Amino acid sequence: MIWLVFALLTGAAVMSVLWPLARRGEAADPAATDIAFFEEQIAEIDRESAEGRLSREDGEIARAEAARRLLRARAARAGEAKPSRRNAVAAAAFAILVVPALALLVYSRLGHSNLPDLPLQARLEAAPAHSDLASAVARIEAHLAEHPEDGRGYEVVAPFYLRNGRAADAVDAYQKALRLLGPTPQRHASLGEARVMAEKGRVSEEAQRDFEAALALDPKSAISRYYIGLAAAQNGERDKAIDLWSKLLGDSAPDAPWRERVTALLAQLRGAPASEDGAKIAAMPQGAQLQAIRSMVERLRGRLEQNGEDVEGWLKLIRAYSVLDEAAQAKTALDGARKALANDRDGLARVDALARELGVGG
Amino acid sequence: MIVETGHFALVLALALAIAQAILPFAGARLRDASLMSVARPTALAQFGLVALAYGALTYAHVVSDFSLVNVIENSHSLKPMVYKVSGVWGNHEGSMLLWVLVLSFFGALTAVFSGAMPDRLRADTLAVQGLIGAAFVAFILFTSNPFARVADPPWQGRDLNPILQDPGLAIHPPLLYLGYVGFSIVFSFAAAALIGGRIDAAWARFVRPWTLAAWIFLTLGIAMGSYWAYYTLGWGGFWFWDPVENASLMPWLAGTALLHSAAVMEKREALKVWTIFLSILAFSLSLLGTFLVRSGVLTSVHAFASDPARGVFILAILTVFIGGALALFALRASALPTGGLFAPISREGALVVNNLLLTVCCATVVIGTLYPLALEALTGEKISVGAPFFDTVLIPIALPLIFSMPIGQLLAWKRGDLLGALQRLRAAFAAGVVAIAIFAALHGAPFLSVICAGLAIYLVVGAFSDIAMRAAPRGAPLRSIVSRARGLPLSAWGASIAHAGVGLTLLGLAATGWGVEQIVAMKPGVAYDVGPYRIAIEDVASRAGPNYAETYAVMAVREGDATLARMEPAKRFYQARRMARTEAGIVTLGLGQVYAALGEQHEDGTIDARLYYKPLVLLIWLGAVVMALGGACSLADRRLRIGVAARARVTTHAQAAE
Repeated sequence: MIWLVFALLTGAAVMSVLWPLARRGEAADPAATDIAFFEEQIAEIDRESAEGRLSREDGEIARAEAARRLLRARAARAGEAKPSRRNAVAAAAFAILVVPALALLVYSRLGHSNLPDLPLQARLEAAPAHSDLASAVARIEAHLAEHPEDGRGYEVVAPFYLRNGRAADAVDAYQKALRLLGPTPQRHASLGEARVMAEKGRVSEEAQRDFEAALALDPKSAISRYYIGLAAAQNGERDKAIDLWSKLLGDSAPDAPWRERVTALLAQLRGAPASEDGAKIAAMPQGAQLQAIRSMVERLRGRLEQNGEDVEGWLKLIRAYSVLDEAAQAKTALDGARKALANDRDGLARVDALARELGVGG
Repeated sequence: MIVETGHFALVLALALAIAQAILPFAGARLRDASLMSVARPTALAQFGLVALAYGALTYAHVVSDFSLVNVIENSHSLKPMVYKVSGVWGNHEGSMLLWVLVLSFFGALTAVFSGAMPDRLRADTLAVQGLIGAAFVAFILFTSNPFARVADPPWQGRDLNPILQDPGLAIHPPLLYLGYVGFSIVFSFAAAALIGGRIDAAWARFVRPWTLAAWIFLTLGIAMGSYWAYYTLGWGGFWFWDPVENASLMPWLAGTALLHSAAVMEKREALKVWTIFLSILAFSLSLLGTFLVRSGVLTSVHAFASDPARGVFILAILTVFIGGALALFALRASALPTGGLFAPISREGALVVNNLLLTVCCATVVIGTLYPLALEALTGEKISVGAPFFDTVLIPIALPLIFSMPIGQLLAWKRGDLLGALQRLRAAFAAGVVAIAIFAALHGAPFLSVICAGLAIYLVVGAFSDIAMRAAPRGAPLRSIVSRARGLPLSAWGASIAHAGVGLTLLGLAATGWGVEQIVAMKPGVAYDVGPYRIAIEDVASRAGPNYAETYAVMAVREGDATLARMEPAKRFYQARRMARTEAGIVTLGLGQVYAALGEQHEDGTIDARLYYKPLVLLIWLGAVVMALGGACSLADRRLRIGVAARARVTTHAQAAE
């Protein structure tokens, strides 16, 4: 279908060349337009003199000058331009062969004739409601555009933003939810957490204020206590952080989800490494840290090249490369995993799922 | 399908532009009428194809088709519709497509309105236009393709730069491009004349409307851009001598010079070589401006290196077209027959002076724009050349230019009577002197403002002296004056109106010296003096716009106890780009304005604000509109022009024009 449209367009373009060639227009005398111009100029002078806008004297001078030019133009009369059959055929061949060929050549290198138009509205309608997260977000955004006072909508969409890495949008959404729906400890804490994400893990003063506001409403809010502890740790107030987190651990249930992480952090602060490698790396300066991580990744890659049946290993490797922003390496690792796990259907599915999640390998 | 059809149309436009460049050109050389006649339909088809491509891109922006990189990077599904449409030219790729659209538009117009033109001139002109089109379409397709797609489209775009989300952007670039790129057709005419070797009054007659049209659009575009900068950048300034602004001023100065020298050429067949040169210069400066703005050189010489493909490509286009045209000029100019003779004191002589001064202005702007770039490239040192340089150099050139404008209008063709002209300007001189006295008494210092304001009044009155003399010769009855004034050629009215427009702009510029600027931390409720008015904040609040949130202050402008008007300066925050923008509050009182821009808001409730009182400021832009109006009058005058020379008394003083 689209090629039919292309063909019609090309046909129209080619016709714009062929049509005048076929008409074999009368050749005009090249001097004729000049002669006409000066004759008109003289007529104009006569008209102006007749209407009294030019004095007789001025008119005569101007007339003499124009007449002189008219004579010169008449003298310059050149031979008429003649159309020739041979030229016309060559030009037609150029139009029929070169124009479409050039267009096709360039388009085949640049164009995507197989890609349809993808207007946002149509995509939203086509995607089933729960199919994927991103379209759900777009749907809520469209709803919020029409109902900007719907605080619930902002509260619903914010966690999606966080998951998609749009932390700044999440901050904005939580702020609006807080303003429209009124303060709760949960809302303050979520806003603070979003701010921390937006700052790439740093607990800013603004975020701290949010957590403090949450604690003012609910002194038990575990998430706020965790982040205030983290702020203290980031600011080098080690004792304060240890104190806050110890109390948090003391207050939490044995199966609280944050227990593991807080324990590990506490252990790190107290000097006892949580795991040997991790602690060593954490202690290094930044450049060396990266170096160490890279050498660990290389060791892992070496091991997998020897023995490729380790699904967990492959997943770790692909993830590591993608975190290090080495797309090419991640792609190589992905290909390696697919080859090594060719007989392991479950493993393969997990690798593919990860690849999609990280956007590795298209 | 629409998007890819647009893409294909653009590719096809490239192929057809090549045909448009080759076939008519060959026809003109072979003297083959049917080959030459290919020029017109291909120019029309060319415009149709580019318009189709442009329409497809606009469609993609309107429906938020995020499978186009260009839409992802510059649009947002929540953006108001008008900015979805204007956002098409608010980015590099789209604005280049608009550039080509305007280029092909002028080609098509020439094809339609060139019935009376000699075949060879038309064929060569459209061939050169086709060649320029081919070069720029290739530039778009190979280095900045707006139709680049992604396989996995995101669900939201990154939004348009907030500064560009303004009604000003919806009008400014199209106007500017119509002017800027409009000179392309004049360039093509010049190149065609040089190729064909025939340059005469008829040529000037054909070129006149195109020069005028381009000049009108450029004048309006520059004025619009300046007003836009004035109310969005929040500093109260209207011209920053920014290289991007200079890029549009350079072709304007050259184009203004061209307009005047083309008049001499049409009426008297003099100044031919110079007119051709200016035609080449005007478009070359447009190309230079495009290069400066589009290659990334301006942000930094080093940004240029980061995307060399684009910069080098435009540089190559620049070199080929400017170099080619100048080479052609060097080859042919000496062979051109010299035209009419004239004495130094004559209309022609005055126009030569005008041309020299305008060209010097233009050269000053070129140097001021390029020197910092050259210096940075050679030594790495960053300097900025701003108002102090341009004011110091341009004012001494501009003042004599303005002083001589009404005098030139009153001189006769071929040989004029300077003393007589000065005598006839008595009224204008008197008006100027009275104005100086009045302005000095009203405002006093600065001295330069008073002088400029007087000069401006002199210019406005002087601009109409010519019309007055011709409509009302001594002792003419009242009744005949009206009919005579009506009978005067529109082009004479056009010249007077345009010159008066320059006077109005000058008056507005002079009045900036009497403006008042206050930077204060405003307490709500307290009134602050700004010139003759008092401004107080009545309320501070926030509200949400479609894709931004803003904090605004309601300010009352008072005179004595009466509140004259309220304004709402605001600070907007655009979420998608995480950028803030100030929205100035402006109240127009007569021809002056009160202008407020918000700064920081403090904890104790005070707000930093810049408050300005700008007397007569509107005249700066109204003057430009009047200039454009004068141009339009002149454009409407379809009659042939005749230069009437005064009868020779002393023939020995006459000399060759070139």
